[in-house]
Amino acid sequence: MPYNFTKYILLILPLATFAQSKNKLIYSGSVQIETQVYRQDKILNPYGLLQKTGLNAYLNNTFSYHKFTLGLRFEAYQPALLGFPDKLKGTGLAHRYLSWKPGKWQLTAGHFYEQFGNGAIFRTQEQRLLGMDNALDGLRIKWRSKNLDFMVISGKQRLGFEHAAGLLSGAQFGLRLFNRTEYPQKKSWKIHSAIINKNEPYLGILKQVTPNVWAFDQGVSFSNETISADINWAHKSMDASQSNGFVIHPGNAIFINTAFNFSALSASFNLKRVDNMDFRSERGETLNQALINYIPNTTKQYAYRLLTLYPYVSQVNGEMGGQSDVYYTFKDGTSLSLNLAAMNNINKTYTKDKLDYSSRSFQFGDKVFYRNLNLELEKYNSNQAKTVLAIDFLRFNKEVIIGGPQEIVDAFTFIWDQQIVLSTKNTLRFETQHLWSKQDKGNWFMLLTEWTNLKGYGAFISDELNYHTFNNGTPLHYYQFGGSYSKNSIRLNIGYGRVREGLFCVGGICRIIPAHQGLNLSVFTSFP
Amino acid sequence: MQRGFLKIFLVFLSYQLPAQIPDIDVQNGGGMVVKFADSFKTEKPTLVTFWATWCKPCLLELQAISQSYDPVNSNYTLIAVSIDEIRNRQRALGLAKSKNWNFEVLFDYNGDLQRSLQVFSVPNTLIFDQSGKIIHRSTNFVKGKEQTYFELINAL
Repeated sequence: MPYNFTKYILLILPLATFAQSKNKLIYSGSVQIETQVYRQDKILNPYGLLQKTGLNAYLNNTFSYHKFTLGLRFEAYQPALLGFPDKLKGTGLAHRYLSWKPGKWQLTAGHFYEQFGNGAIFRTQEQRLLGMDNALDGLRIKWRSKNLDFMVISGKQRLGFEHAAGLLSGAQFGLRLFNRTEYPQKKSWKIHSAIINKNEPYLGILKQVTPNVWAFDQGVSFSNETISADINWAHKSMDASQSNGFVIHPGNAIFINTAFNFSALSASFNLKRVDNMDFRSERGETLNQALINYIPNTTKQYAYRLLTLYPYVSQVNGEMGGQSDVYYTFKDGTSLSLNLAAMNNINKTYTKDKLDYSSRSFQFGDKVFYRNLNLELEKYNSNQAKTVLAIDFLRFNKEVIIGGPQEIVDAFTFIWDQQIVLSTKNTLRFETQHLWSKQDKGNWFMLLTEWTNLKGYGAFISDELNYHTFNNGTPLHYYQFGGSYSKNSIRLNIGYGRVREGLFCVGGICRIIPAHQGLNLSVFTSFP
Repeated sequence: MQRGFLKIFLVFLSYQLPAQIPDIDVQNGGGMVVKFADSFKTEKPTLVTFWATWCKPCLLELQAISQSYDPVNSNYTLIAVSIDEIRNRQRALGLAKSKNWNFEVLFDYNGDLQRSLQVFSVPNTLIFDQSGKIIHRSTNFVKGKEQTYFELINAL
């Protein structure tokens, strides 16, 4: 890693020097290094791990000069951390672009991230923690006025350090009927319409595979001081691929979101129905690779460790459901939040040749994917203490969402999070969590103690105890301890311990992490 | 070679180059695309904090800062940029309304602003001076740190 990475840094230095001397060329950059040393653990990995170390490094650089912006990002995977995609290997210039932004126009050549509408037919994004980067490498032209906007894109998606096979071309048109930007004083209406084409040559023998796939997206949204609502509808033409079993059925999706915001009370409702919307620029790819679109979760995103044991993942080949979220703040600052979420499959009746199926648009399927009720109370006891209490009921279809044998997991979780300010410079935080379940791996108990200091130092120790395991009947400890230092733009983290297997998710996209034990070190800094 | 890499890395860190408010589009609470730079007021320093609804330290930080913030009388402008998925915008706005936050909440809907300002974790707080230069950056929050921000702003 160091040879090539050093070479790239040497390439950047003259540009940075020029930036300093001219004082008109603006520079910003960052370095992030994540490394892990894995230790053999016969309980977690009876057959051993394939790698002893992992290192991911990112060097990000942005140069701006008047209306031009140049971006360069170098990445190194020597080898990639456990659970990252196989295609992330080696070192190289992974992301580069030149952008020109005169007035209402913006032209970008190279890699860029963009989305049409809510992303149902096109969204490129970088999720570094997941090893996901599906940036489009090509050309983008944008134009925006007070009430209208227009965008044209074309290019190929990043796949590892190479490109996916399909060529994407698309356009979006948007209209704002009331362009009052001083939210929330004024109301606004917005509509958009988008189209995208994927062209991916096919030389195989399957007759249902077509080189061209078209997708359309329409949406309308409204918001004023207290109410907001939006509806998005997407359609995808026949797109036989590995992920949908090479069916010829077209895809479609509908999303309905509403929210009511009063002074202390707010409530939101999200509904969606998704049918055959896996859309990739390389039809043989699976997991998080070469995704063209993005179907997000309509379930609550959790940060507490035991609540991340069973995360929901959007089932893009067929799901229907939604969530409601209610938030209330009392006069003393105490807040109460309630989340209810339910997701089911959609029923499909297949033709005899299994190449097509029919499904009723507004009928829930008979298979439960996910049920969740989460109630959370947050109370500031004084300026010196804060308490969070949460209870969580869950029903989780493990077979569908994670894979493996047919199993519905029912779980109840209790969380107590207590923060105490010891002095003007030191804060302590304790977490006690317990998850009860008779399925899967049984019960989990977790304790965490965290100390943070105003000067930037921090330390933590935690243990997740899986005390009802079916494989050997003995409790299994997933202990971790570590420290951190943060000063201005520099952040260092070091930790050691066991990590349980499972899904690590960001915004509804997940990667599978195998259980492991080891030392991890991460460094991040940005400049200036 | 690794020593060489370390030396170059340290030299690279020593470069303190100017930065300015990036010319990036973000979405406001009404879902409209607006220029990030338009939220800055030239006569006041600006405190920009990146947050998410699921980030507990972020909420603690916003709670601590907002207690003394007044958009008219405070000697700085406060902008909270949510990195929540755009379809969680309603959840973020509901939270802001319920907590009576009286500062602007923006949404970095495609991550361009985060990349431009080198933000890869939350909370992440930046203080811009009146000329638009970044004078301070923080990548964590501990109760009491808000006083550091206020002292830096008062010194401008």
